[in-house]
Parts: sequence; C-alpha cells; structure tokens
Amino acid sequence: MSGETTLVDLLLATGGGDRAAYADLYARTSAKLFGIILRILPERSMAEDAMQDAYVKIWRNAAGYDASRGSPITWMATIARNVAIDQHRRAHPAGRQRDESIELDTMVDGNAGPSAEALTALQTCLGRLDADQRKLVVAAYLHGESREELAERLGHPMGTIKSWLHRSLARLKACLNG
Amino acid sequence: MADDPAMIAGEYVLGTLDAAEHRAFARSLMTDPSAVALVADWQQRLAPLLLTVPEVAAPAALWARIDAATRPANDNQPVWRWQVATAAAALVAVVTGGLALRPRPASQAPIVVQAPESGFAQQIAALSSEGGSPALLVTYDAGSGRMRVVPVNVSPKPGHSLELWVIAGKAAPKSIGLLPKEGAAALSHLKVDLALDTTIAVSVEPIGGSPTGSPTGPVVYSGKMIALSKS
Repeated sequence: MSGETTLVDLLLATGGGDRAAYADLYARTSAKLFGIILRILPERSMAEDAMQDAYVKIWRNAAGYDASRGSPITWMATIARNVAIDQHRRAHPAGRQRDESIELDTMVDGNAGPSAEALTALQTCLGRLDADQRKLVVAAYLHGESREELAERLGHPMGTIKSWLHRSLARLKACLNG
Repeated sequence: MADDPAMIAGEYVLGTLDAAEHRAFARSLMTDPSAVALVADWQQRLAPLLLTVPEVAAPAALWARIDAATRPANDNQPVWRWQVATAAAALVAVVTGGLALRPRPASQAPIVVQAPESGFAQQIAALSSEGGSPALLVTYDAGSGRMRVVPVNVSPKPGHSLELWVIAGKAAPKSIGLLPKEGAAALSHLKVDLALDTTIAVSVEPIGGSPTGSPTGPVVYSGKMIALSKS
C-alpha cells in the first residue's frame, strides 16, 4: 500500500471531523510543510505562525480536497506556500535582503506516488534551462523572492528580472507541454 | 507591447508580480475564465517542486497551538463536515419537482438521518450560473444554525478550490469554507440574519481557498436565499 493512499484516507477522515486522523495527518506532514514554509519565512516565529494558519486552513477545508486533482501532500503544500508567501509580502512589502546564501540546488527526491511523474517531468524541464534561469524560478517559487528582492540580490533592474522570468517560464511551459 | 497572458499568470503563481499588478490580475480572475485556467495550469506545473524541499521537524509545542486553535470551543468559524443529508435531499425534491439529482457515490460513512427541523425559519437557495440550471441547492435552518449543501451539477475546476460565501444585505462577502467535492455536506454554527436579503455565492479560488478573506476568483454560481417556512 502506498503512503499516498493513507494520506488520502487521513485527509478525508479529517474532512469528517476526525480529530485523531487530523493529529495523524499533522504528524506525517508537518516536517514537509515546515520545511517549505521556512524556505519562504526563515524567521522562526513567523514560520510557526504560518504553520498554524496553514494547518487551521487544512482542518477547515479538508472536506474540500479532491483526490482527482492531485496528491494530498501537494494540496497541503500549496496551502502552506500560499500562506507563507502572503505573510512574507505583508511583512516585507518593500522586499528584504537575505542574509544566508540560498542553497538552490539542495533538493531531495520527491515521494514516490502519483506526483512522482509530474515531478520528474518538471525537473527534466528545469534541467534544460540555463542555470541562471533555473535559479530564478526556484528562488521565486521555493524561496518566495519578489521581483524587487531578486533585482537587489542579482544586481539587475526589475525590468530585466521580469523579462528573464518570462523567458524561463516560456521555456518551462513549452518543455512541459511538448 | 502587451505581455503574454500566460506569462502574467505564471508570474502570479510564482509570486513575482508587484502589488499593483497582483491586484489587477486577481481582479481579472473574477471575470476572465481563461486567466483562471492559466493559473490552474501553472499551479499544476510548479507544485511538484514543493515536494523537493527538505523536511524540517516542526517544534513540538506547535501541535498544541494548532490543536487548541482548531477545537470547536475555540474555533468559531463555520466548518464543513461530510454528511449524507437525506432530509436535505427530500427537501430539495419537494422544492425542485422533477430535478434529477446526480447519483451519490457509495459511501462507507454511517448514514445520518436528520429529521427536518421544525418550528424555526428555514431558507433555501438554488445556486446557478447566470441563466443556467441549478448547480447547488442550499438549505439553512436558523434554529439549529445548520446549512446543508447538495451539489446537483457542479463543474469541477482543475487546480482550484470552490469557496462558498454568504453575502448578507450590503455586507462584504463572508467565507463559509470550501465546497466538498462529492455528495451533500453540512455546515454547523452558521449565523445568518434572516431579516436581511442574503445571497450565497461560489467563487473559484486558489487551492485551499482565498488567501485574502475576500473572493479573488470568478463567481461561478450564486442564488438568493428565500424563506421556506416560518414558525
């Protein structure tokens, strides 16, 4: 039995109000979501607040999960990312300078399961971008960097960053669609 | 030269639009189904990347906070729960006559038979797209604070969540949570002021619902609540 099926059961049970299933769901997914949130909100107290908001959203909306649209962990991870990006933008509307260097190539293998194929395709297509283009996409998506923050860190005007982003996105789209 | 809409949608999902562009694009999601589809495509393309981020153990104290925050005593927000609402289905059949309901999938959940609440005001709404036939039927019982939702013809929106809103009188829309995917569902602890004209609406939102507390996506179904019976 794959781990993905079990998470579906837990998420559905959570949608039915099952507190034990919710606790189990949290135990199995919290490290994944905390890692995702910390990449966007490295300040621990903010990351913990975002974790709380994300899991409260998951509790309230578990009945809205649709298995035909993706794996439970992807659904939950997207909620966590949206919460983290929203809090990051509100806390730093003008952007902020990162202190730590971004380990853009530190990635682990995704879990096996329904998402594995999609992830492999994405990683293949990311691999076909120039290193700078790949880092740009990863910095925005996984680190939550705004155009302003990217411009400041890379030392280029925002207009340049925008056209680089568009070029990278266009290539990704063509690669994934083709 | 105008930007390629697919690129704007991509930047929206990446989070790299500036505040003004983000607002403008979020507004366009309310009226432009193609923009909604572009966002869904980008979310599906990029989301697998989230699975590559290394895990970090959450602090042990965090669960206690989350557990406390979601306990019914502390959480006053209406919460969706699965329910086989046979009474709601019966009510729907009475009101809509020969409307054919989609067959519900077989469920292992125990069947909860609810006797129709009596003696309190009940309201019903049929939610549809403009000019369309009903997609959802909603009943509300003021005495119990319980709202039941029966989907009859809801189009799925890939890569998005469908969020329900109550619009009471002239107030701003208030979220009552995400629409479950299959079958009837019920919502408890809902307070709706029956003295006001109330509309129930469904909007298309990012996965997990609107991040802002207001609709950010197009309203696909809506309907006014009308009184069914009064005590």
